Amino acid sequence: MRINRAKIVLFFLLTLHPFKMCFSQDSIRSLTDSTSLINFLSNHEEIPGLAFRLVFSTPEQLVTLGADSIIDLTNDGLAISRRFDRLAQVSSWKGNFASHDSIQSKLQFSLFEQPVTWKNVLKFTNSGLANGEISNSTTLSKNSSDLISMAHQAPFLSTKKKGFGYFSDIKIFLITAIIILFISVTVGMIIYMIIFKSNKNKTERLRVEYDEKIVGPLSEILFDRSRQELNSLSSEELYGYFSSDLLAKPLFKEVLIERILSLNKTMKGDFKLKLKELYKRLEFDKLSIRSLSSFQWDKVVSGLVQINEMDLEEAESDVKKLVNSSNFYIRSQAVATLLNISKSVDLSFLSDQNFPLSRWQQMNYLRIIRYLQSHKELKVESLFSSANQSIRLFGYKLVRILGRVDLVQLMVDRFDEVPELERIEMLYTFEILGVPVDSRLINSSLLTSNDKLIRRAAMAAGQIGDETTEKMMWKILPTITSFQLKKSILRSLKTLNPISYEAFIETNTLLDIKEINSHLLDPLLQDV
Amino acid sequence: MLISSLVQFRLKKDGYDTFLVKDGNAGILAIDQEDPDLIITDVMIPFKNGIEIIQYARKTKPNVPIIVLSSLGEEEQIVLEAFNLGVADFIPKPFNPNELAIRIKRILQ
Amino acid sequence: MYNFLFHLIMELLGLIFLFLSFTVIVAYFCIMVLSALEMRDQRRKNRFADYQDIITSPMAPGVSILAPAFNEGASIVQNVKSLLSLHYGKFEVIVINDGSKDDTLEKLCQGFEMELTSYAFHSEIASNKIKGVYRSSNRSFSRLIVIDKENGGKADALNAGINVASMELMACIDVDCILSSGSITRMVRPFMEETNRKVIAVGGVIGIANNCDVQDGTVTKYRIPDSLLGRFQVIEYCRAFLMGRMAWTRINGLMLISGAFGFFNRELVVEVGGYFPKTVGEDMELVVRMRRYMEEKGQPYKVSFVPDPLCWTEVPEDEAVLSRQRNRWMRGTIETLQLHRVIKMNLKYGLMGMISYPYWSIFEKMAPVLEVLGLLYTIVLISIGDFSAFYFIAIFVVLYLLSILVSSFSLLYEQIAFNNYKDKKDLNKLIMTILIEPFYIHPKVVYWGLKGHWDFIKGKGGWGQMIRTGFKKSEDKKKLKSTVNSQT
Repeated sequence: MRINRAKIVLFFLLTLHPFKMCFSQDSIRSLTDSTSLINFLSNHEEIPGLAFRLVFSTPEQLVTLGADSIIDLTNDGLAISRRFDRLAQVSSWKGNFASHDSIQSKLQFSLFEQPVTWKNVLKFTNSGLANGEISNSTTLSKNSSDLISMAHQAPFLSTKKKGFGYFSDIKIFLITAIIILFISVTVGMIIYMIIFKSNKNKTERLRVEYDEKIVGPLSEILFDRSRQELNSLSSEELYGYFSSDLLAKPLFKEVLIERILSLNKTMKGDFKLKLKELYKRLEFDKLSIRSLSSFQWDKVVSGLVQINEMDLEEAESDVKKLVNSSNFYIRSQAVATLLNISKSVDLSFLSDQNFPLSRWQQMNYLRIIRYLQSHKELKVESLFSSANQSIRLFGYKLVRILGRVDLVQLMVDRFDEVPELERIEMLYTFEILGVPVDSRLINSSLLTSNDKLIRRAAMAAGQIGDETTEKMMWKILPTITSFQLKKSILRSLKTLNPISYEAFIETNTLLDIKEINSHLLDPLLQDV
Repeated sequence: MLISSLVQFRLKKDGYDTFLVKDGNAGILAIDQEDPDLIITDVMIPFKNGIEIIQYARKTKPNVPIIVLSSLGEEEQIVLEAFNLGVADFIPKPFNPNELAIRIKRILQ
Repeated sequence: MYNFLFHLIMELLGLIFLFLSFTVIVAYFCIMVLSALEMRDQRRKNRFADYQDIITSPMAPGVSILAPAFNEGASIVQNVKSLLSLHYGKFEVIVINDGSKDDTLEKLCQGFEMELTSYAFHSEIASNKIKGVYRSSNRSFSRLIVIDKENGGKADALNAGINVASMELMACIDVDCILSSGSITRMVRPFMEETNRKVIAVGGVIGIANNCDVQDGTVTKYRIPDSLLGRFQVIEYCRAFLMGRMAWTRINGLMLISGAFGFFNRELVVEVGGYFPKTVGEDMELVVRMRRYMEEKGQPYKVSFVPDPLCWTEVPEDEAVLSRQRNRWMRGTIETLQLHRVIKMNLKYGLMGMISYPYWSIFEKMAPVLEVLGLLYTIVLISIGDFSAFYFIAIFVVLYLLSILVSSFSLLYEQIAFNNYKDKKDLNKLIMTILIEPFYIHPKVVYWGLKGHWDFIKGKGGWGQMIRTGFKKSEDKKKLKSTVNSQT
């Protein structure tokens, strides 16, 4: 028991020890002589009030040495150094003259600016050590917290809460980094936008200005001069219309090209030829062809449009190279241009397209082909054998829209081999063209499981079906579940053979059939 | 705009006094204020349907002939409507300005 | 011990908020860059587009315009007239009278000589009872179809319209919006252009018509609204619509298309089951469901966006109305995100699941909550005298600066792209609004958002149970139909 209690007491004493952090002073040092004083002071930080100086007995030698001017003269004519706060500093300064043994110097102490002897300093230091004003630490530590602990004999407590110490540095760093990054990038962006905007404004103003400058001369040229005159026009006269320094500016050229192009679209006859002539004379055609090799896609496309509008046939081979470009716009416009300027009627560049054809492209090409129909005999059938399904579908659509009844037989021949998607398109074409085709095509389509195909076949049947189709419709109607499909079939039946239709309605009592019937009979709903 | 300016230029050369407006609203004002002898208009113009212009002109100044320019093509519903309202002539775009001038001369005789 | 725990939590929270702020800044940078690139490409493309051709080309798709109407008697005839005179070849206008209590139907019948027809149709999508389908006996109005039905809300009305629509594309619009004459041609273009991907929907921008001169379906003179709330909405329009949605489109992550002006592929809408009437955010819900469907089927697709100013409407300048609108938006967002929880951080749903969903969840849905928490956190830090409070105040300052810079950027963006607000005085007022917004208006928006959360939790408006369980697959909406029908 007693031993335990002793252990406990001992344990307590030991554990108490760490809490006595800086309260304890292990031993009160007491300096006894000059050596220990010098030792102590050499390793010590600055003590307020205590200062050191070196006194030299042979000033002339110092002069010859060229010692720095922190040397003064005492009243007795002795050279004295500046004031040092730490003894260590004195030693290092003294090291400057180490090579010169002849220099004799003596250490002088001063307390509060009064020169004193080492004994006074000894007494001062000891009393300072005793009452704690001078710290006992002999290591010169650079840690600022030690300074504070020297100043107050208070226990050291971190001013930051426990744990935050780990993250504080990172936080400052992160936040400052974020702020700097953020401000610099955004300011940069805004400046860029402002510059961009002002440039844009300037360009707008110039455009308006150029526009006005163009109308006059252009009208004059077009109305006053005939084509031959234009051809033989000398350069000076041309520049008389448009001043040469204006023509040198790319923006002016751009505006002028745009204007010529837009006029070309809305004029016909003599004027078109005159505009073409003017274009060539101003050497814009070379400009257009050159822009085909630009890196920016919109410049390439502009060039293509210009070539297209101006029928620059000489550019045909350059345009051909761009037909399968990976950029949608270049591709699209290249084909359109080629359709226009190419002398051949073979549409192989179109059927050789690797990329699927979008409806946008189809719309554009349709317009061009429609226009060209009157001039050239285009081989639309070459599209049928393309490897690209969207091209084939486009081919069938063309037959439909252009009314190429002569190509229907070709389509009929292919009907059985093509996938269902193409058959749908073909049937639509047959329907619109109203060409009677073998009803087997329709009937077989009605029997498939593809709802869309059945629907299309049903709609076509109304126009081009026959009795076999009629019987087929009777047969499949009970099996159809889709309301829309029923409606389409009944509508076609009605168109094909009204009597048969009536008969069907009579015999059938289903509600939705009745509804469809009223719908179909309603005069206001004829097209729905 | 350029086309109108061009046409205006041509007509001025032929000795006609022309007045050019940019959109439908200005057009209606002009019909009122300027008292024209001939109106030339397109069908698709800003702010008003060309048909509305024609209707307005027919109502307020029934004796003034109207020429319609259009890129819509002759089958279009709107064009038929225009004809029903009684325009003097219809010129599809693209057109030949000389031809326009000849037709204008003919109509104003 | 608790002291330590408390400090640990504060430390963690601090890190979270720091991370969030950093993410916000990075996100806004990305948005600015992406939207700038997208706008540049769009402008270049526009130069080469022949819109005139689309109007009459046989290649152009047909469009069914669906316009639900509820108690719009006063202006319905005028609005429908302007719809009928849009510049396009193949389109029909379907006005759905959603059980109006006023004379909307009578006005329509009178104004356009409408007569009841024996229209036979099959409800591919469930909707409330349709009382009749009307068409005009006047050939000039042959494009118009009017559906009269029992009241069921906007989504329900649209579903009814979808059943009757017969064209390839459908456009859902608010009947009181002003559409410019070239709207259809411009919105149809993305559908026609894509070759490799199926475009399932195209969203548009809704401009602010308050205080502007409007003539014959186009805004002729742009002016900013008088009130501060109105001007704030102009800034928001530049920032969220123009910049934000352009950025999302560039990476094909757009999850929301305005219900007041959106074009869809009709067949696909029918396949996914139409609009879901039990949510207040039906427009966003449909888009997310359509996207899910395409992802689940593994087909490449795109949701596109046209930034041209084609549609305008009057925005609420009254605070009460605006707060209700924002409340509704917040509830709609929460409901949609809840319904489609499955896609969250789910690689199977590609970009939508990995980026769009988390972004919407954190920065749109949780934004008000996070902001308030962040503010509270900083206040706590300050009150316990922690030095780190300084950092968080610095963060708030940075966020304020960020907000100003992003708004200014978006304004500049609008200036460069469309330059509609040209008046110098107007621009100055807008700049003032940008400076004041974070202090005066944003707190209100945050408050309305919080209220939206609260209302959602209380179960107001939405169909609580269903939404809490969510849709496991996009097809679940169809199965819902049978439960709805059996319950009603």
